Amino acid sequence: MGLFKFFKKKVAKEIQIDDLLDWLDSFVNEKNISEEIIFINREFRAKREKLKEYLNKLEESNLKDPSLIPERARSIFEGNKESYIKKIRKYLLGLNVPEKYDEVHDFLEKTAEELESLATETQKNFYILNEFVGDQVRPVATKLAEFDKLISSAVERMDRTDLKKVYAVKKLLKEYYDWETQILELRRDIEEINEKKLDLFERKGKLDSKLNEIKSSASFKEYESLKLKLEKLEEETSSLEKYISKLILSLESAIKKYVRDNKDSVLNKYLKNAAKAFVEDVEFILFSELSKLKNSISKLELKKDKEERICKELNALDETKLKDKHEKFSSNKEEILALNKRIKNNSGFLNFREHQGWVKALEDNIADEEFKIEEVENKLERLNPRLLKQKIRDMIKDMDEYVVLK
Amino acid sequence: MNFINEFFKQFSDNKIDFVLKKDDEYFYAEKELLELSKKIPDCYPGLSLGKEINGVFSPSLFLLELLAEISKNKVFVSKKAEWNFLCGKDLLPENIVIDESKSNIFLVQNKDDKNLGYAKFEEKNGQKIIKNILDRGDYLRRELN
Repeated sequence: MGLFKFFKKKVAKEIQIDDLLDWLDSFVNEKNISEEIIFINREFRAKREKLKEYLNKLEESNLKDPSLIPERARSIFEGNKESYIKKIRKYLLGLNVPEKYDEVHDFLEKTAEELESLATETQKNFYILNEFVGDQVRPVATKLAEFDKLISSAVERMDRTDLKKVYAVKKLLKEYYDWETQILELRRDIEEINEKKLDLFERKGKLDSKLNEIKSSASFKEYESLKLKLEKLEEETSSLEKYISKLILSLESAIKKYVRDNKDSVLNKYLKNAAKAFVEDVEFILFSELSKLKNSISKLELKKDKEERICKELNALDETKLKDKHEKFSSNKEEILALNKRIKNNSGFLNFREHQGWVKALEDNIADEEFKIEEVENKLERLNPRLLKQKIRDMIKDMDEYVVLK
Repeated sequence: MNFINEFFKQFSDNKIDFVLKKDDEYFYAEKELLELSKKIPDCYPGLSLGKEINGVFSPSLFLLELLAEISKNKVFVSKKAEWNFLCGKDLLPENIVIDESKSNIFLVQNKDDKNLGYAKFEEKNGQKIIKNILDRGDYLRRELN
């Protein structure tokens, strides 16, 4: 029967990820890892007991001839002995090998570190005690040094087992569950953000319909007609501005020479800013000043051809037409001011502008929420528990080829 | 806890957890803090959610802020109205930019969905108004007095 059992084909066993921890525990038991731990524990206990014994002997030890030793040296001896024993006993208190296999590695690491710092801390105590009670202190130090070797050999023994693999799987498993939790939380975040986004869209819909309502209101219609009128006026005024600036520019060389002898002439202002001077020239002196310029043009010593061209332009000027343009320009400017004021105070426009601001703010909020969703989705993309699961699956297969992680 | 729950119900279907009542005042504190406070006499832990005054619950601004996070019973008012409301004034329906009120009593929010206080619809001289019950300017006004 036994022979048949031996040849019986081993069937692959499937395990779920949630059963993995139990499987790891049984794997540890099967691989006799617990026995290794018991062995290490026994070694530690034996050495600890021996060290305790040496410590007791050290504690009982006294100076060979106290009367020959000065009081100060005696108290130094006692102080160092007490501190040495106390530190080592404290170290021994924590020297219990844990029964759980997944705590052994950390324990060995921690104990090695503690032993190293204990050696540094007790160095001075040891040298002093060695002077007085060398025979009692040296066995303690030797036993402590043996602990170092014991820890190294325990680490080696544990490394020879599959415990490292168990640790690695456990670490990955923890990471896997962490990722799963993170994914759940991130998905919940997305749901919340989407809900918020929906609210914002709903709000925006309400605002959009309100904006349409405002747009069809009488006051907003008035605003639109006022704006149209303003645009027309501004266009007209701008062409008048261009006209006057062009006129002054064509006469510039003559005006420059003329104003040298006629510093108070209004043409001076026209030279600096023709459009501005045209508005400020309330009594319309421009034409009379240009006539004066025409009369004195021969005295301005202009080049012949220039003089002829300017004369021709001045002669072509029609006072009535220019005056009409001036009046139009001034009245336009006044009307533009009044229109701007009316537009600024138009309730439809004010309402529209405020609602537009709200829509803009909502659109910004929606964009923010979309950005948040993108960020969360990016995070989600980076979390790939399937990859982790595959890694775990490979490791399990390496540990036991007949076990398949589903 | 009836007063606070009744008040809360007007704005949200959710329930408020971790509430402690001491005298006539309600406090919001995390579970551990609540447990700890039971061991300490005369301890008022956490943040005040409001008080019962003459049989009426008066919420704190913190409670309104909490509600604003979860409630959908809100009205959003214009910038100008925001200032007026914070000065303790009542508002007119035309000051509402978005009306999401679900009952006669509601939270008042600004453009950025920040809570300004709470109010209710009321009739005054035959006209519907938004009656200011509590606003964020309340503390400042009390300081001035």
